[in-house]
Amino acid sequence: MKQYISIIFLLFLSLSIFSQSDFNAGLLPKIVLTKELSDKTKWVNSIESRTIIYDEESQFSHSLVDVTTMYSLKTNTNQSLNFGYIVRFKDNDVIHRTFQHYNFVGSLLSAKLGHRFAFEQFYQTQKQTTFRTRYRASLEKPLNGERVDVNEFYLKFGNEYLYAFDEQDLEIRFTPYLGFQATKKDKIEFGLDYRLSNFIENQTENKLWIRTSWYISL
Amino acid sequence: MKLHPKSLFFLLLVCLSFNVLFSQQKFEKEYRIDQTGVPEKAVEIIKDWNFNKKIKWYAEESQDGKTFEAKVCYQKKNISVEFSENGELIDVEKTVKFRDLSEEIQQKIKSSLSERFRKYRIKKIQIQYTGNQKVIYEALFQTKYKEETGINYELIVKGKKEKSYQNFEILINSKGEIEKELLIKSIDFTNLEF
Repeated sequence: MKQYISIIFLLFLSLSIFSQSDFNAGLLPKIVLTKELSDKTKWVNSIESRTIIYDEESQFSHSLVDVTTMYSLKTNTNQSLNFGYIVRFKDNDVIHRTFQHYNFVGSLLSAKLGHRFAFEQFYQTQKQTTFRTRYRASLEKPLNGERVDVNEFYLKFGNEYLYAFDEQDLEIRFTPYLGFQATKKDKIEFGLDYRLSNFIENQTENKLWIRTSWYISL
Repeated sequence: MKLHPKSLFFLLLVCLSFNVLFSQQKFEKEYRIDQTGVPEKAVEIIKDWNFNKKIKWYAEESQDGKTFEAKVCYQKKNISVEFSENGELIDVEKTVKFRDLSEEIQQKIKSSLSERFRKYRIKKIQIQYTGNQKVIYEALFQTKYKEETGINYELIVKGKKEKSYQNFEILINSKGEIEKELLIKSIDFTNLEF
């Protein structure tokens, strides 16, 4: 398994180094708090900070913080509809975003496959409202046995496609993570979040984030 | 005092560490093991049965003790053989399709489930054989059933009792009566959603 992780890491590294394009790298820690409201509903809140540690163009570091609140309604045993709001603090700007998700999670013999369809609206003072749509597939597989137990590691691979209507730009994300189920109520994931955008215009932008996500159920 | 978003983030991180450190948890663990970690008695039974296929061994630990499980795909059916901690055979489960069952038991299962649920769908069905090693062997390999052969059906059912669907694990005996019903707590998939 260690080999797989090394190969994926090298693959991302080589993609970033050899492509003739703009490259940024940074840290992306996130904490997600979930509170179950009823059998069918939950309230999810998260805070995510973003720090750029390498920027090819400007070589300086800056950061932003996203605060999210989301209401999730289970429409079936393996499906949900989420409605949320994100406020982004970036330098002196504040960007508001609303989003709607439809999730479908399928159980395979020893893995879970999640599909997420999303639609987002961005609001910013003195700017026009913009829209984005996205689809993500994520596969979660335990490293040992057929299910993820407490104190066990798992792998999570994600592949996401995002389309911004105003910029007419397609962004693709690859996210290999190593997860750890620390207790029944919380899990932590470490990994990479590689984002490729603007490649339609041939001015490809590469972003490589080192991600840590901590999911906690209250 | 103006709190920088970053400070807020780390403050939150510290608070949450306490939540994790002091939370209690029930012990339950399932994992792959090598054949070398399995009681010899269990290994011998599997060798005798000569599946001639790759066997995957698992151990399961909980407060109730430890069990071992051999999983194999035999004649296109998933078979799971369960052993106690000291290698005694407990039962064998064979995953089948509902239509593989006899018409008679199909009707009985359907009628039992209809009494329990307003609407339902069978997601998985396993025939469970219990008894001594010989009767289990004969049931599994020769479809010979004796009086002492225990036959149960373990079902995963997505069912609606009142308003919403939930998943249940249901044990049905050879007469088609429900012996045990267990609500499967829905998996939390927040990390696949968000």
